Amino acid sequence: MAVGDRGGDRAGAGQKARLADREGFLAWAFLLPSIVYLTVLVVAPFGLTVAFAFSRSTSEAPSYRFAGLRNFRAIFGDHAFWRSLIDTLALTAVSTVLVVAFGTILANVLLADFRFRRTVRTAVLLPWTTPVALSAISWRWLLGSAGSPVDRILREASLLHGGESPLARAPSAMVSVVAVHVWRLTPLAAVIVMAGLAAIPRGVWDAAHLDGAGFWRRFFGVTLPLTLPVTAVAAVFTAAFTVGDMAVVRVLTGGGPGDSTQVLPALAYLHGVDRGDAGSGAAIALFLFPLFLAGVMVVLRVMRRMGHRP
Amino acid sequence: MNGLAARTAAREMGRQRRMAAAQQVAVRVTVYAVAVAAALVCAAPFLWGLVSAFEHDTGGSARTVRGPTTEHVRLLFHSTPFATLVVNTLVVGGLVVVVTLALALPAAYALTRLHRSWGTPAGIAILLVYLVPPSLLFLSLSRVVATLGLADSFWSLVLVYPTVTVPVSVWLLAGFLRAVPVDIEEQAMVDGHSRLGAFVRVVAPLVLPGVAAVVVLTFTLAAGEFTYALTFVWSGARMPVSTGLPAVLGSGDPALWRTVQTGAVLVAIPLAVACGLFLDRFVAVLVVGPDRD
Repeated sequence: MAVGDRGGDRAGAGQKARLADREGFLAWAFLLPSIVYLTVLVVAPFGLTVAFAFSRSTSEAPSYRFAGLRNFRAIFGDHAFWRSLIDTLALTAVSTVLVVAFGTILANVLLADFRFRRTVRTAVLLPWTTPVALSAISWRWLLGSAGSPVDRILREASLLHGGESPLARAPSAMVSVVAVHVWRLTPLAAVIVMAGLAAIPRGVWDAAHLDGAGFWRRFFGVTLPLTLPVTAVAAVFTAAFTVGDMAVVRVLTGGGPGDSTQVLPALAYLHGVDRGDAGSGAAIALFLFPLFLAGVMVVLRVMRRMGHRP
Repeated sequence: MNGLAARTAAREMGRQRRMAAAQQVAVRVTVYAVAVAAALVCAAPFLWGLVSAFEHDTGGSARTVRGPTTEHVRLLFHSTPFATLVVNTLVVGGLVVVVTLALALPAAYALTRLHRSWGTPAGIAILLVYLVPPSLLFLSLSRVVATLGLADSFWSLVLVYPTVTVPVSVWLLAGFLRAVPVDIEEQAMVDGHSRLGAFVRVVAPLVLPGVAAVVVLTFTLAAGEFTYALTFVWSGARMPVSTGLPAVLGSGDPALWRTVQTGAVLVAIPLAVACGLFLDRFVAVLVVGPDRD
């Protein structure tokens, strides 16, 4: 009996193929629920967001009224929008670079063998597994309260004077937001890079070692090039989770002082929910879409290089 | 002449060995230094939260140390809805895990074992959904949720969270499934099981460790989500902990700051410990992904 038959029905075996044996049917039956679920709750709502962006829809008058480019004209005329767009891009770029750098170092260290490895690994996972909003609460307490270690260090270094906190001034508030993003996403990047490192056959390092390559030579000549695709994926996920996040800003700084740390998602929420103007909220949120597309492009290229055939 | 050459060679070898040993020591020291520094930085806000949770609140005036207090912990359970928030998170997380597994396990099986020509593109398309930021969809989904009559109910989160958790779970489960040798399944079919029967009775039990890892990850993602929870649920008693605890601070009582820190630490530690147990398993399958043959 041709068990490994990839064609699906096994009529050749002289047995009528039952539904539970037909691979073509099973494949569809197994995959369809997920695809339908994601289409209904991700793809369709995206279409709805686009529709909202061209509508005059508010929470008082939720019915759909086409408004053309009105929302876009309104947000283009808004200084706060441009500022948050630029801030979001800069914040994402800086965070991603730092996360990838720290993540690569951390991944190499976490794979090494040392005492208290389990404790260190658990501690390192904390930033990623803790709900972002709760981490932001803890950071606000560590950065913003008088007498905290950070407060004392900054005062000792004369970077902070009087009764002010780092979250109350524009430049240092933005630095704090970047720091929290880097802190919370470095473990994720490290785990992804670790997976890439673990997939390198041991023999490659040994061969390089035999050829006389030293530690740094092996790191830059073998490890780094071989983990480059995975590192790119880590960078894309980091960027996606930074650009789309509103929890850090809403909880840590509330967008302030003034509007100085208002990122795009938080601004979309402010317009769409707090002010009840779903139309302009959706128009602002749509500016995240090109960034999502860029991420998709990178992932597809990496997949192709790693031998998947999309 | 010969002796000199031998001595030179021996000296050279000794020098190289010493250098290698020195390098080894340098690597060990660096590993420990980075590991300890990383652990401290990663735990920093929670360590400080823990310390201040047992300190007396001096209200910003000159602090007098009077030993630890459990007052803030007591307040967490008596003056804040923390217990309710945690129960909400557990219920939402549990239900999301069930929905996610019901959708993702068959999908991962179809992608890894049933060899369709569209298997790989479908797998990659599903993974890419994970990149869609919730902030792109929360406004339109809040209308969907309201139309379904789920506004201000945690059922809205049970409905929407699988859009975040299914893509990751499909990807990871596909990796775990690939680790199960095809022979085992084929033997089961020779023994008279149908394709479906072989999956349910033979393959599914073998991927249980992987399923456990996905359960923990799915729960962690569901517990951590913020944007949808903030938009869909606004009554204090119905919120999950990720929006409920910040809302306690929003109510404005500064005396509750230390109390809320305690809550954050109490949520953070179990999640990190649970995920830590499965870290090696995630690392093993993350890169493999669906359909590489």
